[in-house]
Amino acid sequence: MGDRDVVPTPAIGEVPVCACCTEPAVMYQPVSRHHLCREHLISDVEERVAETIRRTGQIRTGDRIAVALSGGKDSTALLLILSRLLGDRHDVSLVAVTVDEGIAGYRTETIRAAQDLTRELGVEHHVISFSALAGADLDTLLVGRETQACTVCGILRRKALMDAAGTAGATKIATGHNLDDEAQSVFMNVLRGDLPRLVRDSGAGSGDCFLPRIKPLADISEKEIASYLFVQGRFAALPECPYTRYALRAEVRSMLSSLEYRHPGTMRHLIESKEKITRYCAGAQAHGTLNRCRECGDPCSGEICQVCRLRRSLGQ
Amino acid sequence: MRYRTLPGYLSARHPQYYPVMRIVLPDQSIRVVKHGPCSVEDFLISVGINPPEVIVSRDGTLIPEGTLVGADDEIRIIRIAHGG
Repeated sequence: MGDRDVVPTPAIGEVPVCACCTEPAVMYQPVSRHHLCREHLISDVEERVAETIRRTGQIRTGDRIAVALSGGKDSTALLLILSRLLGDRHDVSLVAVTVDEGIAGYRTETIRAAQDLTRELGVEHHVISFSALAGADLDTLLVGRETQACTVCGILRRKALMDAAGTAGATKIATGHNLDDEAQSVFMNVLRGDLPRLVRDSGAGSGDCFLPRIKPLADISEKEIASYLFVQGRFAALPECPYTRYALRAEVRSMLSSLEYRHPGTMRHLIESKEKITRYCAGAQAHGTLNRCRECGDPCSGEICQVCRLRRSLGQ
Repeated sequence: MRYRTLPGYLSARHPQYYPVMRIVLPDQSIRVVKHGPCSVEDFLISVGINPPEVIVSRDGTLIPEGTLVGADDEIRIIRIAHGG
């Protein structure tokens, strides 16, 4: 059974009560061992995001934050929370950026959701497509190489985000990576033996080369985000990416969530391990040097950037 | 841990009052559970669903997995993981 608490079973019709008031709970947090009602779940999530931003100094005066908004649950929650936390600040502004990869039956709905949300919140919205960036949509680019979907998509999406955020005048890119995503990435990098990627700090930027990335939801679990949206009537059952089944992440996600259920805190411990390794590696040459791509001039670690290498392999 | 009894449940104290419960699974299929009441968590485990991967609502309201559910409840299990 593992070290998960055995929660006493209530009588029929009884629901657990919020740890902060007398309202019925909507969620149990196994790590804090608290039940929370709707209102306290919302305030708990928003306060923890605010604390993450404060603790890490992710947002500073003068920042223009480009929120990577896919229209899925994580980025929707991110834009909602940031617009609430930053709404009164005149020294910081938000802009939303959506990448249209061109995935039939998947992306259309989420882009519509992104457009509706930005309209409601009054946030400037930019959409950039793979067709404009790479000359074809993802479905076309992947014919015969479906198993590389996440690699190809990841390379082009990073480039698209960077270009669109730059065009929008952003100083930082905020992504909706949550606690589960972060733990999965740590584990995947360990499985691949990729130490440089494990200790890379995307929030630091690289001089004038990359826009720094921030992850305000990194302390919030995927389930908390889904619950946060659901209790506000904002959780939409959107289709799953058809290429997910090819991804290592899908297997890692399933394994880690099983471990998290039996041993609450597993994901947080993984991230803490990564942070310790990063501190031990500080000053070491784990990152390598940064060059400019011989073909496009974008920053890269070798002579040719990943996007140009991809274009070559696609015969472009 | 404190519990609160919701209105409408006070008169039903015996499993015979809980013969049928509708469960909407993540794939939108519907399962009718005829045995007595059970916790949401036990039900999820019994059908092979890992609780952290879903949220559960009863008659449209989100509920924690420790909640005991019974007759006339419509339980909806919503998978939360999307994307790649």
